[in-house]
Amino acid sequence: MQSFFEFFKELFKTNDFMPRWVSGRWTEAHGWLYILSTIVIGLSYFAIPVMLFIFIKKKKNFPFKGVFFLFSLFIIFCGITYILDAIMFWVPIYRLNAVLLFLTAIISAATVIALYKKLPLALNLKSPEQLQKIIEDQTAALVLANQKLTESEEQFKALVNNNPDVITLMDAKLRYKFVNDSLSKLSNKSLSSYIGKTPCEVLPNHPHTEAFTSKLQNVLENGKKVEYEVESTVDKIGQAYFLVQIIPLTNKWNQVNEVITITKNITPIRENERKLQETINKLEQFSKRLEYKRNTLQEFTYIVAHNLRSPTGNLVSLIDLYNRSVGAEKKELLLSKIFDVSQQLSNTVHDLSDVLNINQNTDLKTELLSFKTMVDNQVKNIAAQIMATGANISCNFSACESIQYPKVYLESIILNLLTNAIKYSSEKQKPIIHFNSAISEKGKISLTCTDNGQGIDLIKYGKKIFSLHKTFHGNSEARGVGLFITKNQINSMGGSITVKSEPDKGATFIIHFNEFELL
Amino acid sequence: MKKKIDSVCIIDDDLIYQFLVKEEIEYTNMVEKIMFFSNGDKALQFLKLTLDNNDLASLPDIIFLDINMPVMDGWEFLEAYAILKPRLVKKITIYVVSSSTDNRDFDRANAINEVSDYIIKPVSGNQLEKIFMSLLS
Repeated sequence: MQSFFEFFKELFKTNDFMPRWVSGRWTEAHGWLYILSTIVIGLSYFAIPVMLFIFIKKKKNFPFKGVFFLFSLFIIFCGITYILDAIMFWVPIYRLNAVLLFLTAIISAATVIALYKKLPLALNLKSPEQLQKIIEDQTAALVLANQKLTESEEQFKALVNNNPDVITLMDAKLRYKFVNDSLSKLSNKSLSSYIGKTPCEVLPNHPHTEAFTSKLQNVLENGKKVEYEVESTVDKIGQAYFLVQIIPLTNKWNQVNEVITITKNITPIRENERKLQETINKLEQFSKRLEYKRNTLQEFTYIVAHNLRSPTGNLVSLIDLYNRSVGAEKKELLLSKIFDVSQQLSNTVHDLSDVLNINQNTDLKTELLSFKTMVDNQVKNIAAQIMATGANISCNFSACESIQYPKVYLESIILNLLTNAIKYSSEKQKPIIHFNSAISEKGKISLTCTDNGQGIDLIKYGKKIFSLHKTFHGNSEARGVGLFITKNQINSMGGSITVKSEPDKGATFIIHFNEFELL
Repeated sequence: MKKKIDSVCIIDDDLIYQFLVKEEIEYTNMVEKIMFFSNGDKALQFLKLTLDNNDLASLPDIIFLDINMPVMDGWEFLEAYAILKPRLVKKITIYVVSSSTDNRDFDRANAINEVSDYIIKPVSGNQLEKIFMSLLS
């Protein structure tokens, strides 16, 4: 221990040794070669850590910094030993030299251990060539991926742009992020002028903009898809029908941050629907008309059987009987019967020809007729009858004052309704007759005549009430022609007549003047 | 075999037809009594009254029923008659007599149990005679 301290006390003592120049036989050249070489080596060793430091500083994230530090230290100490080696030609500090060599030995051993530990990692480091190769490969893959991405983007764009519907994408502030080419089929503005703007900014004055914006706002708030139809006017095609879909897009936090709008022009569909409906309407009219014709035909078959065949048969039988019978009195009686029947036949033929005329005269001249005037005229016509029964006749035509109709028909219709109401008035009370008119949204005009008369049992007679020679009250005055004529007149002009009634509760006749179109 | 039919009932609103049938029936000289009603309702009222009075002798043997009549037509009469029938002890033969040549009327009449036959107007003396003969035999 004593000697250990002694050693360090005399670390810089030189008198125990001889400078190198004087120990051994050094020539000038030999000595200086040695000295200069060791100095250059030492200085170089000092320079190497500086270089390494610069290198590490420049290369950020460079691994093995600790190893490099140890290595630098080792090099520096090596440098120092070389420099000391040179110094010792003049100053023999062999003790210091030994200590420095010892330190160098420790550092070099530590460096070897560190290197040994880091070796596997260092082996894993790619060489620049390897790295170059990797970069090239990755670049090629990236280029390919990019190409594919571009391709798929092109395809997507083509798909979206060639879609006949207008498709747009908007951000959460309802600014257009994307609009497809189809928009140019509707809008005169350039498509790029839409981008980054809200609908209000693009089309501030369009009547649909406000509603559209509020619907967009709704979708943003509720996150639910909205679909609606709208009739709108656009630059290039004018008035059109659109089906608008607004679809919310959510981000990964489930917030709606974008909306897609898809606008389909459904005008052709609507147009087809309209045409179809028109055709259906026409067909319905046609079938109504056919139904009417069929009914008329059936009615006439019936009339021929009952109103013509029957009296004709009677006539034949009467004449047969006349021929067989003897005695002037009998013959006289038969002759009077024959006269009655022929009169009846003639009346029927007359009535029928009236009705046939009605059904053929579908192009009768019409004129604008005031309901009030028409009723007043007929009331005057049968003033005596009205006076005799004390009938009270009122009317209200405020809903529809007049109608375009053949005058003779309307006169006859009103007269028939009036006389029927009086003829079948109740025995218990004075007749009250009320007329009123109405017009539907579609412009269909109707006339209603209500009375407080005997009424008709429609359960029993409903189908027959407008038939020829049908009477229901056992009234000898009744000929059963009036309503038949009335019905035929109304039908021939494309209308219909219906009745609501109960025995003893009066009757209401309703005329729809223009229910179906004349064909 | 009975010599004459007691009573025949004509339900028809056609007065000329009533007159003609009366003449033809009288001409056959096979019927004691002929009744006329101008519609189904009047005939029905008569039948009901007769039953109420238990006057079975006054019930007709044959009814000639027209279809088209005011107030109550032939079809309605047949409906009402079907309800009344259980009370009628006497057998009444009903013929529907109409000027309608419509098959639907013909089929409808034949579908009704109470109807024996459908006769198309005008009815001749010969037809009546055959009907009476068949009933008497």
